[in-house]
Amino acid sequence: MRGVSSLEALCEAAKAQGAESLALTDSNGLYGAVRFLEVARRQGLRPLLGAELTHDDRRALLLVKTPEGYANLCRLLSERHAEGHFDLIAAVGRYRRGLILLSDDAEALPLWKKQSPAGLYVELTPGALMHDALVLSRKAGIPPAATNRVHFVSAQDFSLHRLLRAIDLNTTLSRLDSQDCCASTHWLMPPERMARHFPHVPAALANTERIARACHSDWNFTATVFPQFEDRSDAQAFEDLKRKTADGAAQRYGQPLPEAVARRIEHELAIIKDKRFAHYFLVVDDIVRQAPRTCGRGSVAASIVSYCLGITHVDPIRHNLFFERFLNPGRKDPPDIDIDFPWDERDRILDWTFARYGARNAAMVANQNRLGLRAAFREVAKVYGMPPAEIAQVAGRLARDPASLCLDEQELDDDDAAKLGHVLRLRAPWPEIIRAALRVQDHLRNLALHCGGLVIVPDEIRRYVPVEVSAKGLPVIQWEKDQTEEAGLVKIDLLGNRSLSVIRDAVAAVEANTGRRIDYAAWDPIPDPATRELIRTGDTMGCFYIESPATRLLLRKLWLGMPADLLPQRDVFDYLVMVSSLVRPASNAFVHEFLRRAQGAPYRSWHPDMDAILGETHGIMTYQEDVTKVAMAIGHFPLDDAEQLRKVLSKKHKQRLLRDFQRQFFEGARAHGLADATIEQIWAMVMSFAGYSFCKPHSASYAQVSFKSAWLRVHYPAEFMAAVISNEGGFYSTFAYLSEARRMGLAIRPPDVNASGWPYRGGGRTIQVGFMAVKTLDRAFAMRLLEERAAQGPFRSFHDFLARVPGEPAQVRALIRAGCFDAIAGELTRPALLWRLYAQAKTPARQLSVVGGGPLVAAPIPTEYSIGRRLQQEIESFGFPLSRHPLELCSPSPAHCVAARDMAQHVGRRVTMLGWFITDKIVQTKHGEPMDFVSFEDTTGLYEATFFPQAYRRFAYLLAENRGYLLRGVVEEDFGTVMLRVEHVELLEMSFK
Amino acid sequence: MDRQIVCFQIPAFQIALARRQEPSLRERPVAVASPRLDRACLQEVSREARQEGLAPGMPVDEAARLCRSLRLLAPDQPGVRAAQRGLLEVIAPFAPVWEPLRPGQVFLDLTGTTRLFGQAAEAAWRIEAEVARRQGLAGMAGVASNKLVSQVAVTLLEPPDVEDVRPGGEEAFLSPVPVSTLAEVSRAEAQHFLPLLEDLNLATLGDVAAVPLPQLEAVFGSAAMRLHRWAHGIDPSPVLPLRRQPHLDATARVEPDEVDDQRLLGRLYGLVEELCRELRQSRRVCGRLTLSLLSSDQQEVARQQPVSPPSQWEGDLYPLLQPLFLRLFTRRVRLRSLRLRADCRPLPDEQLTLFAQGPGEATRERGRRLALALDRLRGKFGPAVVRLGRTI
Repeated sequence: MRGVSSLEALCEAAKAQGAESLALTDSNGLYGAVRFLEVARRQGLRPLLGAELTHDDRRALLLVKTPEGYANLCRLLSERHAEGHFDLIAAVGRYRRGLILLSDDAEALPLWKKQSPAGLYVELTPGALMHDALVLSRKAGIPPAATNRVHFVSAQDFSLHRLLRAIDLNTTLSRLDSQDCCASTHWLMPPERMARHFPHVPAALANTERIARACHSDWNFTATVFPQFEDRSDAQAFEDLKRKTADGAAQRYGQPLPEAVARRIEHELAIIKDKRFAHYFLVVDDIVRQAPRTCGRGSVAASIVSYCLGITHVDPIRHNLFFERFLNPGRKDPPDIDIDFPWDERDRILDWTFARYGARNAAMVANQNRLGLRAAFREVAKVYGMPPAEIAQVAGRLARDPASLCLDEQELDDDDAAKLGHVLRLRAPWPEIIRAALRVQDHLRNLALHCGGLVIVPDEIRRYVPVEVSAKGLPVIQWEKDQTEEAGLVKIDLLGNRSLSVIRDAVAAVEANTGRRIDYAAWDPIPDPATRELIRTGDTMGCFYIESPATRLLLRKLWLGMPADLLPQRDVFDYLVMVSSLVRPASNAFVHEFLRRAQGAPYRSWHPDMDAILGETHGIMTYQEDVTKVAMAIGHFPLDDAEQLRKVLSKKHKQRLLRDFQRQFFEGARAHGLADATIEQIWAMVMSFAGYSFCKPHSASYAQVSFKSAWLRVHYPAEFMAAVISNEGGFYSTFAYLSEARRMGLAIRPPDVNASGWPYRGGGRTIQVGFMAVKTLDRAFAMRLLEERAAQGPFRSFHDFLARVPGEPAQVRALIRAGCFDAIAGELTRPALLWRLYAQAKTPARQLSVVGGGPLVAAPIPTEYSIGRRLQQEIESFGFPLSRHPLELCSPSPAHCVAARDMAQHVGRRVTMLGWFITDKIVQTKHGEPMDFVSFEDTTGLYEATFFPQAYRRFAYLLAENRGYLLRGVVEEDFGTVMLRVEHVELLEMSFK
Repeated sequence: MDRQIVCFQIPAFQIALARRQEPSLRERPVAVASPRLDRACLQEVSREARQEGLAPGMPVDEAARLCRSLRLLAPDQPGVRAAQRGLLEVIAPFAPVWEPLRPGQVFLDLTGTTRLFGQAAEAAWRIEAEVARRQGLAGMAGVASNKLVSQVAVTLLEPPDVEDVRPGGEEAFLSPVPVSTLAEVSRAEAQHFLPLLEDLNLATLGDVAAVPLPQLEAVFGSAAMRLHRWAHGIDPSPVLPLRRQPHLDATARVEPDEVDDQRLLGRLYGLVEELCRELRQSRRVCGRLTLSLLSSDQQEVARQQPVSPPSQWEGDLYPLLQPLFLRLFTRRVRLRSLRLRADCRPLPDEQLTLFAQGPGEATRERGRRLALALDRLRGKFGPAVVRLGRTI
């Protein structure tokens, strides 16, 4: 976090100053190299690549003269980051072929000159040390070159540079050391101003121009770099793939193969051979074989070769999946295979992959974490010394307040910041903090690991891109996924999926509890009537991919209103695939039309060509590939352009590109004979894919996993819900899942020192809360406890526990307050247990051994905590009251409230309801006004409520998780489902008396 | 002879002073806070404001949201100092020894004055009446055999009133009092006990008193005796006049709260000047400094620094405090106040040097002469008459 100005701003300013070339020299990296090439070329500049190499007190500037120099720079930078003992002088000496080297290091320069004077310069930068550098140049006979170590475009940006440094170093502006910042003069000076600093050394300026001309600028990253499977040639790899595909096909489809299957395999293999993708498939196959439960995500599920290899598990023939979405002869960019593994097995898979392919060939893709507006706001506020609670409070208001939600983060300016400060009634220094946050947003914060991207190259990864070492010890390249792909490196995504772990754990629990063994590979829950019924009712909390309120509501609307005569024609799996694709940010306008048509309402097609594409989805564009197909069929787009349109829709800042595509689409559609009004309607549907959307193979692949989790929920609810909670990270909080478990008729047992394990455990009609629920309990301590219990049997008393699991009073205190000893405490109250714990902790170990571990003085037995105190302790221990619903603790609690389970009886009426906030989704109306869909629950059930813009404006400031409300509004019905349209909100206070 | 200690207090002293001048402020929520400061906090609140949920330390914005009819008063330190002097003038004739605790609150040791003024409770009533007559202020007093009980007693009152806890009745009087009151009556150590007492479900001082000392010792260790005594209403600490206090304290309220080192160090220097002036006036030296920093989120950190040799000069103390401050202030959270405590001891006789002074000593001597000159000026014209640039 040193450079201030964006690549665009730097290139624009350089061009405006009349520059022909511009060199990007990130500190110790090539973090923005690929993007820079694009931006500089767009500005008509020759892009030069290089890096500022620093280590300890040494510094050198390296510029790439030849492609070999680029590889050497990558190796040098990798060594700088990855090697423990990095010697800058020696390393530069080793890798300087093809590089131009500038430095003012008096010790290093003579050594490098001795090695070779070619391409070696003394760097002269205006400032206090320039004279010393000039003396060094003359004394050592090394030519000078002028630079200004530019960190920002204009001199005014120095304050922003200091702010970024303070954020980076976690300090305040007043404590920032001058050594940690650049000089205030390190801005992009125009040539004439630079020249004024070098009247006595014109050669320095001339040399800089000479260097620029000598540097390589004809960059070409278009060649795709595939991994190589073992030492196979292309032909051998293809034969291997063909054979494995045939074997897999025989297993999947039986022999002889159906003709459609054989034809599809042949078609795919021909393209794979033509594109030389066989190695790639074999490598992915190799990795996938390391885990018994995986799930292919994205377009790869459209490939029958992947299905036969076991990379994916959805039959592309049966589900009519469009292979060209994954791979087609015209596609220029490499294909993308993304595989989900159980989240807790992924690290093992990565370790295996690195062991197999070696760190020389493989590295993880990076995430270049940038400061989003909210993160920037928090970081700037910390530099300004604002207290954490106040930051959270103001950030929360910024996140929820209608005034800020209406603003486009990327387009905010100082005036908006002032307005925002005024609307939110923020006092100094908050408006100043917001202004500063706007200026630092989008700056690179740090490099992190991409959630699963892996690059494997056939030779040496360090010649393509610099490699660093992550905190986990994995090699990671300096580019994020977009630059990686643009540089031609083929990425394999190995992603963590919690639901696969949920299924694994639930299946294991079923076997342990009942002896029933479920064979994951042969298990097909799709025909199961009970599972299909569950999905129809939308009771799918905990089920993978279909548990969000929006999906559950859509499922209910679809199936509750389905005419009986249509039911046999509507396959639950097929419609689940559609529903999960329709739940996306911009599709709302078309969802109702889809429901209407799915339930048999007649509609008129816009064009016969669209019927062929959208027949199965009732004429509604549902899947990503529909964009490609419609663009080709209606807009006369070539395949490549149609794919580009599909990709552009998911990007930010797409307006400029979209305008061109829109013009192209309208022209093509008019040529097709369509009227402008119709084209506009079709284009609006294309626009409903803005933000994120899904392809059919992806949704079909995920729907299979959804079915498996739904099957477990129906048949083994306790095992399933325990696994959902234990694997964490679901859509809802632990509290919400436990409430749902209670509604499912399951009993929740509090944690118990003799009954609990670390995770939650389910069996029969009971869920036993695990030690993981106790927030302040350390896992290592819990494991020690469990080992002792497994070795020596259950704990007989608290005294027995203290003797067998000694030490760590804070951990034992956490167990006591969570009620873990209640079952073995006998007559001892929780305060009495704590008394004994503290007394033992104060007693020297020597005395304990004399008296056999017991307290020396007989301890009193204070009275038990009040019920209110115990409930407070439950909230402190678990984050929520475990023994009763928090709404039972809220006041006022009027008696005339309508219960959630009775809502359907009050359609059209104004009612009052109690609601505990579960989750919400804020959306914008077509007029750009924010509104909120909130899921609440009371003690009888979960229900949905809508805050239209007016209500949201009034009550947004009251809404927060883990709060209880009294809601007044009208119960409305839509497609057979009921919702509360909120008109008035009152906050309820928890009372522990 | 039983001691007779009175804790006399005028609640919300600054507000009481303002109400004396402006009767319209009576019976309505009033608070003291710096005006025109964006991040000011309430410094003092009236009883009516407290009933509305306001408390000292609460941001003014939040207070204004909670209580629409809140009337804010600007702090008036010179007025408070003058009123405190006036209060002490009224009290002084009644008590041979008195110890000001904070503006508007004073301990009086009336032991042995029965013949002059009657029983301590009677004297307390007379003091209250006198203060009301001469100062126009309504006070209240707790009377007991020690400071702790008299101070707890005064927390239960509304002015004008007197609570007299007779000797032998201390334990019974304290029995229903919540243990958290210990922290309210400035027993700083009590802060450490409270979480433990809460864990053990010992909610009142009576609950604590019921536990035998050895059992308390098993949990509280060496602190058990102190706790045991408090619970039984025993507090032998004497009422000491200001000049005989073992410590000197100075506090700087930072408004608005601040994170900038230079500004905070300026305020710290101001505190050192204040303490050194007190030390010189009372002919004492400081042997140890304790610096406490209170951040805006009410977290407090403190650290001690020995002063060797003990000193009463800014030039000796500040160089010790500056690095201490930088070590202590590591959280990136603004500070609301800085507090400095000096452990005092009498000024030792000074040994004059036989030899010529070195250049360092000459500089030090100049600094000391300057400090004495500033003391004289401030003594004559008030503390704000002259200030060093760094403290502004």
